[in-house]
Amino acid sequence: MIVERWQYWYTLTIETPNCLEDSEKTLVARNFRYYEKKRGNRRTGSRLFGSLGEAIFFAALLLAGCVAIILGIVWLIVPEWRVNHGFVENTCKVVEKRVVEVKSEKGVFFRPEVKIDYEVQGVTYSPYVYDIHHLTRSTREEAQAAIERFAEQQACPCWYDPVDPNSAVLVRGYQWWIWPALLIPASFVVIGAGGLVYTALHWGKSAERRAATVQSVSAAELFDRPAATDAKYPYIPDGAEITSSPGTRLAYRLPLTHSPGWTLFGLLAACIAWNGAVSVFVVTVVRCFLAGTPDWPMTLFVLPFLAVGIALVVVFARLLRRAAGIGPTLVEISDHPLLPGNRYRLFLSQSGNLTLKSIEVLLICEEEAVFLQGTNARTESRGVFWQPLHVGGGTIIRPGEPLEAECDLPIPAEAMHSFRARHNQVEWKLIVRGEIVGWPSFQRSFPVVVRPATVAHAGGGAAP
Amino acid sequence: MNNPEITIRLDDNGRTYWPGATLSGEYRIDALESQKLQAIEVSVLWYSEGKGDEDLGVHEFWRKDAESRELGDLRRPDRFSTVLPQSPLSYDGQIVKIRWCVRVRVIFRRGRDLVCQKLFRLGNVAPPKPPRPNQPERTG
Amino acid sequence: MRVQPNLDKSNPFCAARLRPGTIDFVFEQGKSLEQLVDSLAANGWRGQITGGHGTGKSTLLAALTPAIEGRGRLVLSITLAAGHRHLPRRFLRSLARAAGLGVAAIDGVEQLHVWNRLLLKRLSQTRRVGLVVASHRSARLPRLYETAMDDSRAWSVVQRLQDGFPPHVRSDDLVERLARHAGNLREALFDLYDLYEERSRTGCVSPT
Repeated sequence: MIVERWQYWYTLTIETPNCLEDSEKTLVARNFRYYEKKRGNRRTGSRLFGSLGEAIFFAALLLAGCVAIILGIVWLIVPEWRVNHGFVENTCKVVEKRVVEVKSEKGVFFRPEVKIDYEVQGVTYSPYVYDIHHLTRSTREEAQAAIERFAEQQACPCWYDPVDPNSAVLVRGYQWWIWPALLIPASFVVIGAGGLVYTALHWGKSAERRAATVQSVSAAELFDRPAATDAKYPYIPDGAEITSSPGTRLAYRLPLTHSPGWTLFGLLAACIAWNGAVSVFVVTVVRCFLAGTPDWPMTLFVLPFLAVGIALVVVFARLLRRAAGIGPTLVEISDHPLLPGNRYRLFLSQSGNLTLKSIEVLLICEEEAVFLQGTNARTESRGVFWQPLHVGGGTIIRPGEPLEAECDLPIPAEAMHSFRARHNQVEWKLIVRGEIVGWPSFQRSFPVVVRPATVAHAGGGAAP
Repeated sequence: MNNPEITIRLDDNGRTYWPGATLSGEYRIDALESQKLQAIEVSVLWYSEGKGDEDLGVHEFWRKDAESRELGDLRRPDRFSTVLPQSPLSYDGQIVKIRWCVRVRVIFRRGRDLVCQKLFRLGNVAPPKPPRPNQPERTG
Repeated sequence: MRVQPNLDKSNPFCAARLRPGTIDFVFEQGKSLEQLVDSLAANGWRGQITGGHGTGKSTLLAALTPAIEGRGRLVLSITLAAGHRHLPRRFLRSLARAAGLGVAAIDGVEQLHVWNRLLLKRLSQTRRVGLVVASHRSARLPRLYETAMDDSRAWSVVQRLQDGFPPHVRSDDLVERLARHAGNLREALFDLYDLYEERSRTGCVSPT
């Protein structure tokens, strides 16, 4: 018994300009395996329910983050802002100082309070006040120390709420810990919003279409490889992100495949988010130690997170120092896209604060192939062309005095053009490599597009 | 009964064509019992070979169904013609190769399809030279 | 679809020719495809193919499929890649519809979550659908075949691949690579691709 099955004919129907009708697909697909999915990373199950589940998950994260941020703003930030900007200054007399014991599930805490007398429009008010949040302390001594500076029966400034004069404070300012604490719900918002956007972009789409969307979305990102293709040159990246970037010395400035700027930014954001969240717990732990009542379980819990935070800071500092020392590498070319058999000009500018042992610019061509190996996908790259264009070095580069050089960029006459398909590609790029005194060597990659040379022919078929 | 045979012939006897040129030729199917035939498909396509999974791109596609009586007299050669695209060019790389061909598929009402293809070359891209000893195989 | 090998500087070890179903499985002495199908039928169309990486599990499963169909069974195949923790709903519905007649052929069943494997087995039992799996480890089904690769069978595969091509690869090339990859023929064949490519470009002709 022969069963209708689908396999690579599906790939065929995607590519053909004259798409087969569904009935033709049924007739065409013969003797192929049914339901064979050979690629990793394809979704299984119902795409609709999968997308819906994802959307609900990310929406929940977004909602939770937004609610937490709103509550944080309303409960913490707004009252402080009102105290600092809306409360009216007055003079009060300190009547009594006390430390109130507050018992809760987490233990016993101590709240400093001061009874003050002040007059507003002929009415005398005598509330117990301190700060707007009525914050507690973990020890009685701390609470006592907070109100030590207020002497009984002495006058001191206070600030009252003009809307409710019975509400007043003796201290103002902003609590610094509120801001890093808000990073936690902020991360929920970022993840939730990002996930919803992703889900919306890929709602109901097949893996092939999603892969194609990823290629076109990534082309819109800065410092990424070209992905969109020109209709006149199928399967060749159009290089639009290069021709849209004019140079200062030559026609076009080439974008980096991976800018250190984005890596640094990402790492900085991660540092701030991580250390901000961890600092809240670290402060609590340190306070416990200072108060003589160390919380060992909490300490042990926080330590690994603290270690990660410190490692992030160290890595960021090293990368920053390196990026500052090895400044931007600018490469400009006289024309783009490139054609085989032509000769172009290339301009290089390397800035920074470093001693350069050597620097070279190379034109390379790499083949890349993705294949399924067992149950995993593997990518293999192979350099097939390698040509040094410029070699220099033995120079000290100072800030504001970049190393500059120009050279020829010849493209071999019989070179293969750039090519990109789903599993295979041929990519051309310019590589700038430098050896630096006291630092590891660096290498920066600038993709270029090589198109086929235009060959005029007199309407005939085969080549002579 | 002899097994059916497909023969594909390209005009000009050429194996190398240029982008934008016209590729034309004919195909013939011998020893074919038309009552068993369901359809004939002719395509001009490229496919990849090498260490990666196959990619395939169909430039031109024709189909003739038996039901629609488009097949005509199968004993006579049928012609095809198309203008070739600018890319991708034929390429004999190390782990990525690109081949162009004319492929004829005969679909029977029962049994396996019969496929024949004839390769041709699009463009004149030279194969890459083997890497030199000091030349790294890949970059970051 | 089997297309005649392209002799225009093709490499017999290219990925398309190594795909399961494209190359024939080479049985060890005394074993054959028919025997396997007989054994499978005797076990109620339930069985597992186990073995190390690159020893031919997927290839054997692909070879079994038409043989099972030749016995009048309906085969529903699926290959699970890394991360595929559950089977598609459509596949499960097809299985249910094939009650009494169908055989599910699943490559990479170890990728499934444990309860999805249990669900699959339960479904196959209640719906009387056969289950043949290829896996790195035991799926607790009747043992059908344990794949392993030795030099002579590997060389037989290489000879079949090189059939119709200039024989640039020798048996000692294969033995060396098979030993390097601990019997993983797939890895060895990928290495042979590079070797064949190098020798065909440099014009090195392998002695017979």
